[in-house]
Formats: sequence, structure tokens, C-alpha cells
Amino acid sequence: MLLEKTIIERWKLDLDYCLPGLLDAIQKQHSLTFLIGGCVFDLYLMQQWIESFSRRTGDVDFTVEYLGDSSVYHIVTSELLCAGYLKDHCHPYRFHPPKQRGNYAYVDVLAFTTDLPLEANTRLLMRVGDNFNFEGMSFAKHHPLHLCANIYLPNPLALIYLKMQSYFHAPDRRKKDFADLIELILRLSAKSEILCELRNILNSFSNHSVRRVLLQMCKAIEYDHTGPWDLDDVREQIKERHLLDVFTADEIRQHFEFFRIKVLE
Amino acid sequence: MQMIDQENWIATDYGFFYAKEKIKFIRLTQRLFLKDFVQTIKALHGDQLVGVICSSLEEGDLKLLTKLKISYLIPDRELKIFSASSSAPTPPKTCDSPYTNPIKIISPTGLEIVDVILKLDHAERQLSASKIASAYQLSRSKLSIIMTAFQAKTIDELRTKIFALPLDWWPKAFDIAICKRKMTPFRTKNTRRYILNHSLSAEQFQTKVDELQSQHYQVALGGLSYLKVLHQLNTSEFDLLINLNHLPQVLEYFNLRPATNRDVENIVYITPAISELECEKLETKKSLNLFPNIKNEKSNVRKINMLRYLWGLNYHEARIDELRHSLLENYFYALGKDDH
Repeated sequence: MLLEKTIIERWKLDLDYCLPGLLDAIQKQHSLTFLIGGCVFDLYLMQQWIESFSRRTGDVDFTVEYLGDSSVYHIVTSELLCAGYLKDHCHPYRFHPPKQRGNYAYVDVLAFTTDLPLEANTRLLMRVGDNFNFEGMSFAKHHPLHLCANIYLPNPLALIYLKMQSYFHAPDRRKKDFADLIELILRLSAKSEILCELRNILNSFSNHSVRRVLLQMCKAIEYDHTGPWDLDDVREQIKERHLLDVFTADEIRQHFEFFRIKVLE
Repeated sequence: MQMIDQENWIATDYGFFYAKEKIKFIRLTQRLFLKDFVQTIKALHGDQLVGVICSSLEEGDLKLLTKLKISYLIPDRELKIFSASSSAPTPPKTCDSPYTNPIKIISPTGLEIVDVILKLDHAERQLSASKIASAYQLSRSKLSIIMTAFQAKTIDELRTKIFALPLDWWPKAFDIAICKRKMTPFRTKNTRRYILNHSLSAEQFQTKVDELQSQHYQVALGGLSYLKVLHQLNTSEFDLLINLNHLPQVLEYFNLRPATNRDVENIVYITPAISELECEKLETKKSLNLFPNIKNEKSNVRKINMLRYLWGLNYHEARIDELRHSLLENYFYALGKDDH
């Protein structure tokens, strides 16, 4: 599963227009860096893996892998400051470009680790609270999509899993993530072109708990169960996205059944 | 008719009203319907005096009518009036007739048996019920129940009585709630809606179903697909009845993806059966080419029990209801024409 070169180049140009020097700053260090957040959907759209997506983001999120050497993170942030970016007063990981233009207004530079003992230091690096969650990044690293140099983005299944974990750990604050993954599954099923590849990615991942958790979530929505994956909990978010104009309740269940059959079982 | 006068006989939509004795004379198109008509007089007309108008009544019919004190008129031949002062007619004991209990035949095994009985040739009709049940692997006990319900002593008599049921009895019986148990209609609340990634003709669709069946997957044409293969319906929709466990294979084989309300063409409805597909008794035990005029009628379509399929056409659309009625008519005509 690969990103098309022309799409990568087009996206890089767009990014450079909005946030000049950002990609260069990231490439100054060699740690694995992931593009995450809402702009990943923009790339999925450009790849035509999904036909549309209701939510548009105004910012870009990158997360740098922390393996014990904090310089990898500081190199990126320092380069941004040298390029004229301004650090946000409220969010220490947020940087605003010298001039606002284009679709993306600012960048959040985050860090992640898949090493449990390093989690506390990673949070310290970004100066975020203890409830900042890194679950799902192991699966994201399993079959990432290459953008350029050391920069990757999660494949759609990994993104679904990341958003599941984000919502699961903070359901009151992260309803947006649950709504995102619902819409992504619906859109992927409606197009259905890459489901086979997602299945292969999952089959090649040795940790079976990912499949188990994804299956639980899908079945809970299919059978309209109460519990952590109750659609009613994000009814407002779904309505705001006008998803119910496109998918009836039965169609939502049917799309989740289709996704489960094609990818997870 | 020279036997009636305008003073006492009032023309109505059902026949004539004989005002002098206040008798409703109801026109019967065939004498075959007489016995059933007689059985339902009380239920349909209560205490109202009722008579029969029929040009083809025979001696046995007249004996029956006389015995029951039911007036009759054979146009230009004979008029017999039994007035209110005559003893009231007593309808024959109906006890569990198909009218009161259509479940006797509207069930998976019942429709399977009825379909075979109607298809028997003259020689087979002379055989005993046991022999017929054995030859066609029918449920002997169910056949016995049906024969009792129709008060038929022989297979031939049973066949005649089934043919004597009015045509509009069937759709009404199909729709009675109790008749909906044990069989899955072609549209239920669990029906899924998919879209074909590449459009298929009715024949290509049928071929794919046959291929899946040959690999022992429990898949069958739905009602819409069946009507399309019979060239009775021209629509871009198809449907299937399947064992839900085989849904992944069906989705893969037909290259389907879920449809949304914006998708209107190349739609495939998939309905999961309530049990194993074999229990639905979709196939006939006696294949016949019912529609020799229809081109490309494939042998697998002949295996279908048309009565069972007509039961399952619960789409509640006017065009489908009309087709159902028309096909019922054709079905009974095709199977009964050699009798005349």
C-alpha cells in the first residue's frame, strides 16, 4: 500500500505554501516522524481512498519518535523558531508560521514512544499532561505510508485504531475522534477499494489484540450495543457532519458489517 | 335469459337479486367452484338466502343443491327456487378446511406438496398417496393432513380440489400472518442493500448464483431476480436469499459494496434466511418447463418451486403484486390445461 508520488509532491507543495520550512525542519533529525491528525484525511482524499470527508482541519500535527534522545524533538522546534515561527502561549508544542496563508494555520509538534518506560519523559518533552496517550503507535509503525525521508503517515486502519484509543482513554473530551473513525469506516466501506490491503496489513501484525479490539468495536456498532462504542454518545457529532443525510441507521450498521467481513475476519 | 322477469329479478354486480323471495343469485363462472362456494355461504352471507347461477351445472351438482335447499338457475334451462319457508340449508361440515386454516398448505412442506400434486400426470394421479410421497420424497404425514383438510380421498381428488380454489384465495392466504412462519420472504427487516461494482445481466447473475451453489454455498435467487430471469421484470435490481454465514463469499463473488440511499442502479438486496436454506423448500420436487415460450429458461430455474417464490414476493409494490397475480394465473393454467 503506497502513496502516489504525484500526490505526495502536490501535498508537499501545499504544505510548504502554508507552513514554509516545516518539512525541512523535520528532516533535520532522523527519528521516525508521523503526520497525524485531521490532515491525514486530506491525503486519503487525494488518493481517492475515500470519496469525501466532512471534517476539514486547519492545522497540521506531526509527532516525532522519542527513543531517549530529546535532541530529535528540540531540533525540529529550534529550526521552526529559526524560520520565524512563533511559539503559542498556551500550548508549548504549537507553532504559528510567520505569515498565515493557505489551509493550515499552525503546526503542533508532538512526540511519541512505543517504549513504556519512556512515556513519562515523552510527555515532559512536549510539556503535556499525564493523560496524553500513545496507544496505537506500535500498530501505526507496523505498515506506515511513506511521505518523504523520515516522514510517514498512518495507514487508514492504523488511524482508525489510533482514534479508537484516543477516544477510549478520554471519551468526554475526544468525541471528535470517535466520530472521525465512524466516518472513516463508512467512507472506506462505501468505496471498498483498499479493504483487501488493510486486511493484509492486519493479518501481518503479530499482536492479535488489535484485531480483537477492532472487532469488538465494529460488532458493538453493528448490533447497536450500549457500552464504550455506543453511536448515541456521538449522535450530535454525527448530525453536525450530516452523515445521517448520506447513511441511514441501517446503512451504518451494514457498512460496519461489511468492513468487519472484509478487513477484520 | 328468458326465464327471468324484470319485475322480480334485479341485475346486480354479483348476478341477480330475486326480490320476491329475497334471494341473492350469485353467478359462478365454473361449476368447479360450486363446492367451495357452498362451504362458504354461511361465512360470507350469514342468514341471507343465496342461490347459484351457472350454465354448466351437472346432475350431481343439482342433487347437492337440492339436498342443501339452495336455489339455482341454469340460464335458459332450469330455475329452482327454495323459498325462506323451506328448511334452512345446512352447509357441509367444513372442519379445518383450507379456508379456515390456510396454514395447512401455506408452509414450506405444504407448498412443496401442492406444487408436486399439481404437476402429476394422469397416470401418477391414480397412484396412492403413499406411493406419490415415496416417489417424490414428500412428507407422508403432511400429505395426509392436506388430504384431510380438503376432504380428498384420492390424489386425483386432491388435485381437483386444489385447482378449484379461487385464484384470489392464494394471495390472501399468502398474506395471512400465521402463514409467514418458517419461511423467509424475499424482503425482511434484515435485508441488506448492496451495489454491484460492475453491472450484470439477469443471465449472468443467475450463472454466478449457480456457480456458488455448485460450491455448496447456500445462495438462492430472490424474488426480483427470479422475475427477471423469467423476463417478467425489467429493473436494474437483483436480490438473493442466503445463509448469513456465507455472506462473505457472496460479497466477494459478486464484487459487492454497501449501497447508500444515493445509489439507485445495480442494487442487490441480500436477505438472510431464518434457517438453513434447505428448510426454505425453494426447490420443486418435480421440475417442469412451465414457460416453454420464455427464451433462455435455464434448467436451474426450472428447479424452483414457483408457488414458494410467489409466496415470498412481499415487496408491497403494485407492479410486483400484479405480476404475482398474473404468474399465479399462468401457473395454474399451465398445469391444468391438459385436463380440459
